[in-house]
Amino acid sequence: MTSDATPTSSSRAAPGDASPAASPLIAPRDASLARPPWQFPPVAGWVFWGATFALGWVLLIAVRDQIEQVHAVLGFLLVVLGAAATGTRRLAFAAAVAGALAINYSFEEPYGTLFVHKVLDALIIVGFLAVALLASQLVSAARRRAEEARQRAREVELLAAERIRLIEEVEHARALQEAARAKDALLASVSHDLRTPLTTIITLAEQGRMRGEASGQGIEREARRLSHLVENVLEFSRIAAGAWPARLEATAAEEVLGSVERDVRHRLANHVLVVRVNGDDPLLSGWLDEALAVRVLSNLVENAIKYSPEGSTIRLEAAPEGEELVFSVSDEGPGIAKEDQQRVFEPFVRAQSVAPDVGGVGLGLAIARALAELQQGTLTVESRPGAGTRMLLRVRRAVLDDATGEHPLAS
Amino acid sequence: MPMTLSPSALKASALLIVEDDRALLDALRPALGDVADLVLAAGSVHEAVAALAAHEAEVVILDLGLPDIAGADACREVRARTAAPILVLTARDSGEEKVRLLDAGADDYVTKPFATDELLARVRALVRRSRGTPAGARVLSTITDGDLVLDLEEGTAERAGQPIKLTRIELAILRTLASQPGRTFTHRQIFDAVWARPYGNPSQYLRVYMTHLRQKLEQVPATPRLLITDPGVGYRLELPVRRGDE
Repeated sequence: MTSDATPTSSSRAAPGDASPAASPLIAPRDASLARPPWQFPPVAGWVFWGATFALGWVLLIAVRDQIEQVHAVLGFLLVVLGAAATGTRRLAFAAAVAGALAINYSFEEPYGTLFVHKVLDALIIVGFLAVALLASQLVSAARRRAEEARQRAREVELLAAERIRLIEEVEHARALQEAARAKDALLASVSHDLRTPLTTIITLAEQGRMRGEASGQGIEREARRLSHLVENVLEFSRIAAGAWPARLEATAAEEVLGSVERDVRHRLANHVLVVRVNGDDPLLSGWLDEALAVRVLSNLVENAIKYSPEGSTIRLEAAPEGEELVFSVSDEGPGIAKEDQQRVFEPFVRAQSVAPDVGGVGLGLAIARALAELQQGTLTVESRPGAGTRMLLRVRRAVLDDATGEHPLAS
Repeated sequence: MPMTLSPSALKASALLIVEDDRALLDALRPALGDVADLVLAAGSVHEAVAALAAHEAEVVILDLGLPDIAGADACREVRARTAAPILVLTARDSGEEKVRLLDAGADDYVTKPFATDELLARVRALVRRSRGTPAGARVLSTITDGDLVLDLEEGTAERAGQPIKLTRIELAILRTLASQPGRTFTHRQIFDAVWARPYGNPSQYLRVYMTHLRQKLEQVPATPRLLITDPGVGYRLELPVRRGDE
């Protein structure tokens, strides 16, 4: 299940937006959301109730002789309540004051003046004003509470949707993790099932060789070749299945080079390997997975051994370059033609210029590049035919904090 | 140097191999006779537990693809039954797996497919190591490598007569590694032995200290001969090999 399929499509904030970073936990309050459907936008409220007020006033004046003053008072009260229920508080207040003035002006004798003749009239106006203001206060308070409740219900709904989304994301991540684990376990068992009989064959062939059987050596060599292929194919599957976690740590370049040297030393035969950390800083480090970095570089040195003439020099170096730590393996081999330089990293491809008896299936560099990328690094080639090949593994530079704060013991 | 036991003297009294693959077991059996007087075989962790109850094995070879208990759990199960060194045969060449195995009580591991010679050499090394460590036996106190002399008991080091200053923690790391030369200690194991505190990133601290140690003790720090990194797993101290010993 993907997180796009979450039921948040009913909410305005989240649909189609699967990344947690991009969608805020709570959608921002949107002006149109805060206003219930029965409520006017501010200007429309003033216009509508202004018009209603004026119309009511004119009608009431027209029938002034047939009604009692109390009917007019009730009429204006109705307008004030209407304004309070559907407009702003200011509008309701204005309607109440206008109503009081209109009653005084048109429905209390003497008509047409604001002069209050009797104490009772004054009381009626004050009473109207008090009732109108109180009622409009109550109405707008009730309305505010209703709005708050609506808003809160909406927040709860959003929160619930967000929660569901998060839960689904966690489940999705867990499912992915479990899938990776399952693939890893499957590949491990395939690896075991393939390597165990190979071990048996190699062991028996060794014993045959020791007894002086001519076939022993051939069987042993071929079994090792097969084992190397099996290993490559398994590694490639593991990378393709995403079942190879890299653990990046700040690691000293010197340490990596030392391990590579150790790894390849017995395969050097007649090549000379020069190991050097450039910059003279023993703590020069990069963000890398030590085991993966060593594997990549050992593979590159082995390639260099395979493809460069005996007696030539292979340089294994590390140097800082801006924000990067660059490991390089340079050989004095035939080099790789420009048109082959990208292709050599593709699986099952080997450069045209390479002799066909070199062995392998052409997965080495594809695996090396994938392992470089697992470390958020890159693997590239610099080469000119006849001028040797330089392979470059770049990773992000790290700082190994020398905060040991320890002084040597006095001897 | 007390490291001159001849291979024939290094025969385990009894060796237990836990392997469910009949063919591999049959192929290995004759060779194992070279490193042990008695070779016991078990096809599962349960059989191994029974065998360990009946016999005292001096070394255990444990294949990890057993039918009843898998991976590091098998290792833990066997470790609970015996103090003998455990050599694990694994089909996975990953640092993470090795850390898991070492932390689960394994002493060493060999990745399949391996050469018989390599397996036998590892078995011998384990036997030698386990015979060297019990109380009363010699404790490695001095290491010499060319013109380097390292006295772990005194806590002093010198190269060509020039003293090298070591810090308290550097010494503690060296002593930990020297307690079982040739054995890889995981970062966690070294950290637990040296720093008696539960915080901090063990790998980070350790890498810095190991860098300092290599600068002080190795002739060429970029190609160390004493302080060996097992990439992604840990560190070990390798004693200088005398010619003819390998």
